[in-house]
Amino acid sequence: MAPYLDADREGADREPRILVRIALGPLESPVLALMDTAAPWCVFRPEMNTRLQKSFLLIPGQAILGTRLGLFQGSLYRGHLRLLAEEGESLNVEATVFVSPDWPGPNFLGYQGLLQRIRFAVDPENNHFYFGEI
Amino acid sequence: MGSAAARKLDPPEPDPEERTPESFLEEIEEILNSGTLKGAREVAEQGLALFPDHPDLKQAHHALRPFERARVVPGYRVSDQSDSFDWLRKNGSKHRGQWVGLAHGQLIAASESFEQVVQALRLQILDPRDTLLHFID
Repeated sequence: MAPYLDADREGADREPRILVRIALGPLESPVLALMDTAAPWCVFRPEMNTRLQKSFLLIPGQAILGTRLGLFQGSLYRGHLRLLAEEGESLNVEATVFVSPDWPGPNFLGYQGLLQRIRFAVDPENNHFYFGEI
Repeated sequence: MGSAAARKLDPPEPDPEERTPESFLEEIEEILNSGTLKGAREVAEQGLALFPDHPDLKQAHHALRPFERARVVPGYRVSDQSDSFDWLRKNGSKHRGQWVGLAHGQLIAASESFEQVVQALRLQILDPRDTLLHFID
């Protein structure tokens, strides 16, 4: 289990969110990523591309992702992410991650890219994200 | 020589559709662009059977292998970062378009450069589990 952040800034344009902590490796600082069961892949900020290239495998070819911000061309990577627990156990999960040099949004955890391979539950009253193996 | 060994040495059957490695890779790309992995691995397998030494087909086949089950990491936990969450709620709007690096509710660095913020956290010799990196969009 890990507490999640529901808003990373104040403002009328801010929608409620579920931002959870993940890491690309055991020595990496946790990064916040937005859970999105409608997103096919995980999507990472372009600045994280160098890190991904170190530990993730590139799937050859270009990929196109349609989002509410438009169409983005980029690359798909395959590798392990760590979902970080504050209580209980952290979890290593294989993920498919899309990275585009033009992506302006935050990091996302997508359904097919990751979430469909774990059990998870959200407790909105306490902002708790529960997760575990299938 | 047994029949199994003989079969192993046989060259692959010619492709009746005269497909090329590039056409297999294009098909894989089309499947991926439909937002699914289903079928992409099968196409990679078909391509690799005909072109077993093609590097991109080999990489695609490996990268599209079946997913492993998620695995628990025993004993690995991060610290309570509720102070950093509070900091973000209160101060995040001042840092839109930037990466911020936080530890226990304290801002360590803010920059458009991800690497600069990572370096700033490292210079503080902080345990990564006590830190938090976030891009505020």
